[in-house]
Amino acid sequence: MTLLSIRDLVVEFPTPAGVVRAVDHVSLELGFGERLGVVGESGSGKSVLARTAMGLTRKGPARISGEVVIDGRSILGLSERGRRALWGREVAMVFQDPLSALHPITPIGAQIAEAVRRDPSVKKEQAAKRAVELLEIVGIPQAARRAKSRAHELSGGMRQRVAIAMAVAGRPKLLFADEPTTALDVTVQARILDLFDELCREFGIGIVMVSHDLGVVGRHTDHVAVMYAGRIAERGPVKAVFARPSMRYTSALMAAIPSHRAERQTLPKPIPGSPPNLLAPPPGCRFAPRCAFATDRCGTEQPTLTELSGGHEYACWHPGQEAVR
Amino acid sequence: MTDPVFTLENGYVRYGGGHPDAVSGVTVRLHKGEILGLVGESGCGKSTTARAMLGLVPLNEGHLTLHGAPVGPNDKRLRASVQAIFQNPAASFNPKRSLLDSVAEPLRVRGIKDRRRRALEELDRVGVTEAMAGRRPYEVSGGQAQRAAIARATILRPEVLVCDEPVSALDVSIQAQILELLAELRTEQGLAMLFISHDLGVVASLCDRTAVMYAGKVVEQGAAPDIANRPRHPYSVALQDAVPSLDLADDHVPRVRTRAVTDDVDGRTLPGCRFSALCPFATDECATTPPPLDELSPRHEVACHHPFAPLHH
Repeated sequence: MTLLSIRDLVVEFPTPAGVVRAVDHVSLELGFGERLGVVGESGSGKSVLARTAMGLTRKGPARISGEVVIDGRSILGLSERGRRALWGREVAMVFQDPLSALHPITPIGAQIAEAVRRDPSVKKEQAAKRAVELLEIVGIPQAARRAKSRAHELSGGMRQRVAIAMAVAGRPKLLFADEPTTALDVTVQARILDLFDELCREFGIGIVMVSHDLGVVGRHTDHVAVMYAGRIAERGPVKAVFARPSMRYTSALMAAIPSHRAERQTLPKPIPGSPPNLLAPPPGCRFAPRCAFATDRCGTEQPTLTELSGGHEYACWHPGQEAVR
Repeated sequence: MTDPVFTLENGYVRYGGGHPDAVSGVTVRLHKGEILGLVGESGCGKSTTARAMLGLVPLNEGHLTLHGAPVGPNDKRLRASVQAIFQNPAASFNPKRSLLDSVAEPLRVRGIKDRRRRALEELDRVGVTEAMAGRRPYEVSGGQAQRAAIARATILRPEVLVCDEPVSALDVSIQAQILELLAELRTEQGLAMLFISHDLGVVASLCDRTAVMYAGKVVEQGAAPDIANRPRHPYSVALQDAVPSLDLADDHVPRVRTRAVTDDVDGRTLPGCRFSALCPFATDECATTPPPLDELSPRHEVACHHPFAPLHH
């Protein structure tokens, strides 16, 4: 069964300088209880993709085409009311900065209870009790006492746990997490990521995690989509993709990551140049101007996704694991 | 071992307001042509250490030395010899001036002639073209702005460069470019550097030595590969364990499981070892007696009563 299906999604933002196509014909699927990582650098379109998929991109400023279906329901044509009914119940979201997701003076228990009560059959007292349970599930010690705290009284890691408790309060089927641990210390990050794994395993929640950190995605998702300049560069089962990166951008990105287990100074390999200006992207492969293996064909002809093995696909005319010649 | 170029000796920084010391008894010694990485999590005092070394926050105790001689925080020699780059380069420039003007500014202050040519040369050396040099900080990418910040910091040929999270805001492909540039400055100009980062991968790949800070103290210090692969302080081990490795063949079983207590225990208020509340190996001794930073093996110092030994756990 498919939980999330994105088909041929295009998202464009008209600006005075021209049209920026942030997401360019992207298709992705995710099953119930599966975890998908979307990785890429700034401007790759990963956040716009995730936000559009959960109905957060407004149609006025943006031009959207294609299809997004969550558990059999088409998202893009929904009215404002329809989308509001979806949020919290079917899909929920967690962002990088939990402080902006939480009310500054309402106690956190009351905020979670409010999210629980989006289900009208739940009574007030039940909701308060459920809020404390949710705080326990996300690993907040002394939950009953902590429920009375306000957001500013908690550490960053605790706040993100509260934001996650609020997100899962309505028992959503799908959770979008946009850089959920980027602002946290590594030891706190490890605990939050373990929590996501648990939510997925125990409650069958599907997770779309947007991250710039390949290690996070490699360790805590089942599938990965690598994005570059609005397009899918490579996708597939995460272990297959990271064991045998084939689109040269994926290879170059992996080579650019410094290893924390380096035995001697081995500097990561930079990718020359910078990502393209989306107002005037290069024709053909968008990575071609920075690619050590690019040929004339790459400069003119856009590579299509080609299957390497069971669901592992790459868009590259000269695939390989080496990043530099 | 040569004598250090620049040191912080037994530094204490107190911000007041009844808060415990931000930095307590930290010694940092920087050598010519060597990069010392300083790692630790938010609030451990690593940025305060850097600011104290730059003379930006006063030391309550301890002092700075330059070539062995004590130097005050407002000393001209400190300004000339020790320069800095920070996390957000665009914010460190005057937004109304071109990068070129900003990079030439230190020359103007010193009354040095031929400023435009020298600034352009310095910018060219770090990979900023003449066309880019005319732009304002917010008109260039983060990587270009950080390059310009490096040019401004090095144009007067300092001996020491303090870098506080210089690549944290950059995408990895650009981050690697800046790391390459810093490594060049170490070898070509023999700069002594303090490199602060929360990213253990960045530190392991660039630095010669690494110091780990926890709750205002240095808990371990040694050769970068040793700290990365053979850490001895339980906190350093837990920190290394927490990094999600991209090497998926690595089965990644945590070696140290910290005790589950709330995130908000302030180690600074503990009478003994500051990590003792979280440490799975803590004993009564750890709760009462602060461990000194002792040399465990040549050039590897650890402040722990029961250093982690992989074979015994």
